[in-house]
Amino acid sequence: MAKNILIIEDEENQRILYKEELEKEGYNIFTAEDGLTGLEILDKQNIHLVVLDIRLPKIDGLETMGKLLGKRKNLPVIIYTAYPHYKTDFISWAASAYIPKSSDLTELKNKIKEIIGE
Amino acid sequence: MVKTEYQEIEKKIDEQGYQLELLYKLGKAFQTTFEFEKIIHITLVTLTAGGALGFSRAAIFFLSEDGKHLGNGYGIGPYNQQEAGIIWAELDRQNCTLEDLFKNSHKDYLKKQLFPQRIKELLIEIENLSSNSPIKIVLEKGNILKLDSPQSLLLPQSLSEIFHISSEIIIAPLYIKDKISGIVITDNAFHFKIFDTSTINFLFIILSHAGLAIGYALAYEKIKKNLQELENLHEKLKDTQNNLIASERLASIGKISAYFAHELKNPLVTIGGYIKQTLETDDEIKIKRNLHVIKKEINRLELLYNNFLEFSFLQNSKKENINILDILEDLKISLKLQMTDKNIQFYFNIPENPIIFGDKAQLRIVFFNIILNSIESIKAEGSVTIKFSYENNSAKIEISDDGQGIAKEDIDNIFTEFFTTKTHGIGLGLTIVKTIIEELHQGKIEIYSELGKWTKVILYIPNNEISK
Repeated sequence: MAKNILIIEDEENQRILYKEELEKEGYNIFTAEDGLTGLEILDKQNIHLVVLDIRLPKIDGLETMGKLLGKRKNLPVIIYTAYPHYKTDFISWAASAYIPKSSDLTELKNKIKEIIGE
Repeated sequence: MVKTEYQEIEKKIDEQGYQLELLYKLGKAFQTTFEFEKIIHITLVTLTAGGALGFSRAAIFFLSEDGKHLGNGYGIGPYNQQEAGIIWAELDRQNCTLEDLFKNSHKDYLKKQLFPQRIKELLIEIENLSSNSPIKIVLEKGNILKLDSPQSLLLPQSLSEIFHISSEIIIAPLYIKDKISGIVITDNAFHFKIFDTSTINFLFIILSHAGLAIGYALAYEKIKKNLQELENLHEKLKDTQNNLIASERLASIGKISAYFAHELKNPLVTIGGYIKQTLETDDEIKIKRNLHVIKKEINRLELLYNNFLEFSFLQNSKKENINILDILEDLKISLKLQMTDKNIQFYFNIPENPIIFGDKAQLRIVFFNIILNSIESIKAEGSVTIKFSYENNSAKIEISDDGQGIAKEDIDNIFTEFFTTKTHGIGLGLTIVKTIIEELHQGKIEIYSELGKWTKVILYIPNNEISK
């Protein structure tokens, strides 16, 4: 059965692109444009992994991650952001991976495969 | 016998009349100045002028703050017989009044005459004075002493050298605010007139006046010094504040530059991602959609770039009288690009010749950002109204729209850097607007709004430089 991935990303075009590209890999994709919506989806769906942006409206990615992990302690979260400096924020160490955004999604795809398999 | 007595009385009345007149002139002269040196000069001139009092020379010395030395001396009078001849002949020739002499500067005497120079050089160590030294007695007891020539040898050598030539020497305390703060030495050199009690009493009166005036002068100087210090401090504070503002702005520029650098990345990765996908697909619809996304993201890059340029614009400003209509007409054209698919009416409520004093490029950024916000807040149809008036020496510009308005909780954050409620905003527009209006134009910006109904931005730009 296909694994469920939740993408939390405020940029609509990126959301669409990730969804399409990851669906090609055989994953089932849910998307949210902000952290609160993402948390609601987590409650309703059996999510296997979250791809999380940091700069988000309302509550930011790090706060969102805290809440996600508060709900599901062992939930794999990949921080995917244009801002490398959040890596120094110790909260981000709780993530399974920290990947800088790139136009090439290969690194993201490989990391997801590594964590939850095909 | 009767005649002599009468003459005696007449002489006394004359003398007292002269003394009263002197006192009157002295009082008047003291009122004209708060200058320490001037007051001392006036005192010394009063004592020695005209010779009527019989004082041929006079010197004032001050106690040092620790009370260990007498020094800082000022003197008027001839040093020796030869100088006496020259000085007194000169005074006779010039026919100077007392007021004329008051006006002279003590520094001129210092330059020309020996006595003031010697007095200035003197420094007496109190500790080294013997217990029967007249100076010590005056300083301790506070009374006036009269010495004859042999007694002058009891003075420190540096003083007796100067004063031993007189038959009578008077040493008097100088009281400043009830405290003995120095001494006055005066003598009858060269004409040897005998000092009587009334002359000594008169000296006492003059010195009380002088002490009072010197006290005021010192207090005045202290206040002036404090004031100067306060002013210096204020200057320093202003400098520090300016530095602080400059470094704050610098820090802000650094932060903003870093922000721009990162913010460029989002549209770039999006464009790259879509290009990659486009290259890998044959789906015509997808290709078209992707191109559309790419175009949109490139527009965003452009806007970001412009914003950054605008930000660097703030570094230089050139203020002049500008007609706000020039800016607005120009903006209407560039804002059309932002108004695609929207039907927005512009209403100008602007009097003839609406002049603002400011930097045209910067104000263009201000109006562009505010009006752009208005346009973005209007969903499909609406209006933007711009009203211009003068109020309390400022140009008042109101920009109102009937768009979505701003939530109450967002209004407080509206000027915070990088704060945005838009999905595509970068949250710098109003920060720049605020910087331009408040820091660079010393103006004011106010925002009022009702969520879902309207927003009104009011700008006040001081117009004190406008010449109408």
